[in-house]
Amino acid sequence: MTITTMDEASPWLAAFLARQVDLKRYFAARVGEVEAEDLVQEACLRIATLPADTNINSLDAYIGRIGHNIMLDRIRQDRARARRDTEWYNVQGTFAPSGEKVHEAAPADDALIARERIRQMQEALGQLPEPVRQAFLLHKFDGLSHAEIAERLGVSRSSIEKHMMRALKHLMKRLGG
Amino acid sequence: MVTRPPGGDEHRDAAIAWFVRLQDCDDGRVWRDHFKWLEGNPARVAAFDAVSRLWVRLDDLSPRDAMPESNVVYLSERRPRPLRRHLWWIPAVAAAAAVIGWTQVGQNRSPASETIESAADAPRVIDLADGSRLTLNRDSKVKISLSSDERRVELVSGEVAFDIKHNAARPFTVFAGKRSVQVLGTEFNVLNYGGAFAVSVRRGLVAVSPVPGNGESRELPAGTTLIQRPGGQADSIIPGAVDEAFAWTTGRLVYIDRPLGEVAQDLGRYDRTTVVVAPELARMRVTAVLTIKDNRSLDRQLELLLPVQIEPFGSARRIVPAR
Repeated sequence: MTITTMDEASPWLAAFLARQVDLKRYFAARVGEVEAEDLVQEACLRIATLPADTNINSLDAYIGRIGHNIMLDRIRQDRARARRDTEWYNVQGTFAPSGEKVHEAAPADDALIARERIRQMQEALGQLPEPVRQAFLLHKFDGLSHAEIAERLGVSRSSIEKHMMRALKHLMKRLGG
Repeated sequence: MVTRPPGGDEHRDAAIAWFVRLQDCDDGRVWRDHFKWLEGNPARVAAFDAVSRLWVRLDDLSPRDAMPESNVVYLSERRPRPLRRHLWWIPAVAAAAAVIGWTQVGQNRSPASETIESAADAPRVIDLADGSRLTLNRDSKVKISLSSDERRVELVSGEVAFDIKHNAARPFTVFAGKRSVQVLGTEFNVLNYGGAFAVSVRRGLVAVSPVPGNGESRELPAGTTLIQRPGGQADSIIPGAVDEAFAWTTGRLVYIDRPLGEVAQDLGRYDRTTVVVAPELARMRVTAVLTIKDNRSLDRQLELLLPVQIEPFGSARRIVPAR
C-alpha cells in the first residue's frame, strides 16, 4: 500500500512507536528475532496509513490485533507460495517430447488432493451439532462477530464463544494444525 | 488424520481458548495478557501456531463447500427441489449450484445452446455433465453449448472461474468478445467486462487468441495472468496474480500492489454503478483483501484500509483523499 503523505504523520504512529518493543518481543516469540524486525516494519506501515480520524478504543488492543493479523497473513503467504511452486513444477515437468502438452497427471493429482482436503473439512464440519456449526460458519464465512451471532441466534455471547471453542477443538482433532 | 498437538491437549485447549477470545477483543489488557502467555514459551507458541494454521486452511472452504449437499439443484432431473435456506446462508453470497447435461446424438453440428445468467447479488455455480465446473461471478452471463465433439462457452459479460475436465476428443473453448481461450484440462478465470479482458491460469495451460489483427496466440502456463486493459490493444502477461483473480469465488477480492483505478472498477462492477478516482489518487497502489458482502460494506472496508473516502459524485461515486 502506498503511503501518500507521511508529512502529516499519523497520530497513532507516535503511540505505536512507544509500544513497538512489546510488539517486537511478540513477533520474536513467534518467528524469531531475525524476521521479527520485518514484521514490526509491516505493523508500522499499517498504523501509519490509518486515517487520522479512525476511532480506536484501545491502542493496545489495536496493536495486538495487527500483530495477530500479520501472523495469519504470513501463514497465508507461505501457503500461496508453496502452491505456486508446485504448480510451476507441474507445468515445467509435463511437456511431452512430442511437443504435445500433457499435464493432466500431476495437476490432476493436486486437484484430487485439494478436493480430498476440502472433503475432509466438510466431513469434520458436518459432525458438529447444528448450533455449533451454524455459529462457526456465521463467524468464519459470513464475518459476523460473536456478539452479532449471539443476537441473531438469541443466545448469550459466552455460549457463542463456547460453540467456537468446541468447533475448533473438534476440527483440530480431525484435521490437525 | 489425527495429529498430536505439540505440548499435548492442555496447550492445545488453552491456545484454542485464546484464539476464540481474541476474535472480537477490544480489551487492551487481554491482548497484553495474551502476549505474556506466549512469550518465552515455545510449546504454547507451537500450539497457537497450529490453531492459526487450521484457521487459515479453513479459508479454502468456500461457503459453497460448507453448504449442505441438499442445496444442490440438479437441472437435468427436471424436478424442483426445495432450496433449504440456512440462517447463515446470506443470499448475497449464495451460489445455487446446477448440473447441466445434454445428450445430443446426431446433432453435433448444431448443438443447442443454453444461456445462463447469475443474479446481481450472488455468484452461481454450474456443474456440467462432463465433470467441469463453471463459477459465475455476480451479474455474469454465459452461453453454453456442448456436443459430442466440442464444448463451447461464450462469456457474454462478466467473470467466470473455470475448472475443466480434460477430454482430448471434446476440446473446450471459451469465447469472450473477439477473443478466445483454448483449454486443456485446467483451472482458470476469465474476465470480460467494460472493455477489460483478463485470463488467470491456476492449473494447466491455455492458449489465448490475440487482439484481432495484432500478433499471435499466446500460451499461458499455470501461475500467470494475461490482461488487456479497457481500450488497450496490447496484452500484458504478468506472473502471479492468480490467487487474487480467483479470490472472488471464496467471497473475497484480493489486490496485491494494484492501481486504485482497478479497485474502483470492481466497486462499480459489483453494484452496477460507476466509481471514479480523484486525479490526486491516480497513482496510488493498493494491497488489500476485501470481503464481498453488500456494496456499501465494500466502500467502508476500503475507507478503513486506505487513507481515502468515497463520496457521491453525480450519479456515480468518487474516491478522494481522506480529510
